Amino acid sequence: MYVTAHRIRTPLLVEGINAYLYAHGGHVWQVPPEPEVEPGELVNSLLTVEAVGGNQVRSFLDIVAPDGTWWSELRPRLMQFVGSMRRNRFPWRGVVDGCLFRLGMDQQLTRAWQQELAHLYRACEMVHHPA
Amino acid sequence: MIAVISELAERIRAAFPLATVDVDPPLHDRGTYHIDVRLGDRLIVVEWSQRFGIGVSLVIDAALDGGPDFRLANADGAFRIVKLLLSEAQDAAFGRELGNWTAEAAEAIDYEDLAVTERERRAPRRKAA
Repeated sequence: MYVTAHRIRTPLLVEGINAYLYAHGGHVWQVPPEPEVEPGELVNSLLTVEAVGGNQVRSFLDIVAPDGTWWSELRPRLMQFVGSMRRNRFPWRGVVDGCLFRLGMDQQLTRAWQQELAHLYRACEMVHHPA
Repeated sequence: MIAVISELAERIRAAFPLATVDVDPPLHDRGTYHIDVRLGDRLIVVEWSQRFGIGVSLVIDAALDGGPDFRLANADGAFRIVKLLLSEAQDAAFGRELGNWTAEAAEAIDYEDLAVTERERRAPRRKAA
């Protein structure tokens, strides 16, 4: 699955967070695919800004993991990813236990990066509730 | 617009019965309406004015107020952001787990979600400016 949340700003300065969940179906991979190469099939979305496309992305969180992975499994991996990026500047990218994480934000949001990540993470959780 | 504000306040009350939701009307017709939403130690402010539309902010320090954190096109978008911010408050441990160290962006970055124009069938692709 590929779950992603973006803070976007439209040309009319409407700004919110949109999140999308894609499923990879029965496709099994050893190395998590890059979302641009193989995003999967869109199965759910959370839109606070409905004018999608062509907007400025101010921040994003991308997670690629096997379909149906629980948040209780993803969260410690995300924390490990964040901890491993401590000396790196945004955007961050890393693979932890077979899960791909990418996180980026503009300089203004970076000042409160924990808060921004919390927003994006929550949006991802809201769009993806494994049964 | 008064109806929109009162309906939004009612939706928030219904979704978060433990939250305190106060509607603060403006002093004059062209002023700004506010909805103050408190849940635990979290304060979220929704504001609406004819001039600026709907804004939503997570208020950390009122003295640092620099305008709304989010600007929405309609009450539905505002409600979803409020829901996100309030439900996030129920997981206070998340921020503690992240720690309080500072991070930096490599440069002034600018991304465009070009691919979602294709009805969001593909991953949002980003292009560095």
